[in-house]
Amino acid sequence: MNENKVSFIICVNDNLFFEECVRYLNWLEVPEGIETDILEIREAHSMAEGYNEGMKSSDAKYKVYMHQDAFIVNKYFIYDILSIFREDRSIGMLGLVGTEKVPEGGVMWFGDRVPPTYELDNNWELYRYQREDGLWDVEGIDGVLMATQYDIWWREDLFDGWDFYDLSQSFEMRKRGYRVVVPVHKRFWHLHDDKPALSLWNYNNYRRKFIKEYMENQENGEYDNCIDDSIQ
Amino acid sequence: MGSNEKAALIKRLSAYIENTENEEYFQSMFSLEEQNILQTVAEFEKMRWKHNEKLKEISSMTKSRKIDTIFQIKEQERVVSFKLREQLIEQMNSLLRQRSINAWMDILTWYHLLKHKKLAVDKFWEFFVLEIMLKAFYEELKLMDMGRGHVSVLLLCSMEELTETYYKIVFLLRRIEYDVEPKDEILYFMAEKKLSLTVIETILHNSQIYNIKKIERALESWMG
Repeated sequence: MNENKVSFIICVNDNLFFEECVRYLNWLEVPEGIETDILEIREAHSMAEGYNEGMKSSDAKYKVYMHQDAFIVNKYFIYDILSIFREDRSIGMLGLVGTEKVPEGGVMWFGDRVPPTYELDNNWELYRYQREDGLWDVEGIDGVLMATQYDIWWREDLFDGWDFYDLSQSFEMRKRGYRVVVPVHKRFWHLHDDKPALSLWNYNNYRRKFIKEYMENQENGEYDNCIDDSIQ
Repeated sequence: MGSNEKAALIKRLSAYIENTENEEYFQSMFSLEEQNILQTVAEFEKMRWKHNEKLKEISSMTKSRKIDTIFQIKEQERVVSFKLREQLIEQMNSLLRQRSINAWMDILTWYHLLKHKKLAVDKFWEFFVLEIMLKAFYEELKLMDMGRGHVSVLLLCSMEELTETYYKIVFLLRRIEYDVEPKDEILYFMAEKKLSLTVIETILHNSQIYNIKKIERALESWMG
């Protein structure tokens, strides 16, 4: 593992977005002695499969798994994540949006998200993240950007689509005793031009799998019995 | 299409909504593509009524059963939603290809009809973009009526081109916001695509861009 390397791993199917995403990655300030690279994964069958492929291909200790339609606008992003990871080796993964407690039904956005909505003030351009600003410890982070300092296999065996790979990985990290955090930040570190998704059939399938795998003490069995044929 | 035909579209739709059982009127007054859309809308509204009846029972369900019921309802709507989306995009493409003000007025009519019914246009990203470009169209039309300019969005002749142009403009404006070079590429893009400043300004004020004043100052300084 190269302790002085950061790999950005991105599943790609839209060149317009990806090229703009890369423009921002190339604009980031890189600390002296640190190497970076960008791994684009094409034609992945699932996000987890794509990320496993990227993980295997990179010798970087620090890996940033992110969406092609996410743009990192914190110029010092690499500085900031390295300082967080290096100062506390118990932190396994870091994200930019998360939830301190995943709600009972496994739907992250039904819970309280961090960071909360905040207004930018006039001096936002001068703001730089400081380690003293703190961290939120979370149960799960959103897949828009997930940075790690340890390699843990993504559960492509269970999550073979485009949903719940993020919460799954968050729980896999925590199962191994690592913290999952979101930095307390006072200005956006990223922008996300995500396109609203309507396909909830697969989402519900994966939600059930997630609950069965990670929350079974709370809801074991109940979900298997609640399909009402009359609805269908 | 002249302004009489534009009025006729609204009248045709109003007449249809008041008397959906008149099959003969329906087939004679709407094209096949329009009929398909209206039939899918009717299908959706019937389904929604059925789901609303189901949702009345939801308060007596356990939390897990409630969540599952909601997801199952959404799934049943999914199939019809995607069908409606495809039909709409086909119709929008057909209208955009005409490159005329009246065709855009038709697009506006369809958009507002479906928005009012909360169908498709409030769920698929292409229509969020279309809404912003319709605002740009409206602003350009107002200026044209005052003798100040032309309607440049008419040059966009498909939904794919429309959405790609929109995102390209957002990306170029953001580069100004975050000082990512080349910052002034927006000027070349406008010239290449022959788009007016009105379109740029509409997108600037309706997208995920925060430091609008910074961008406005930059544009003013470059364009004089």
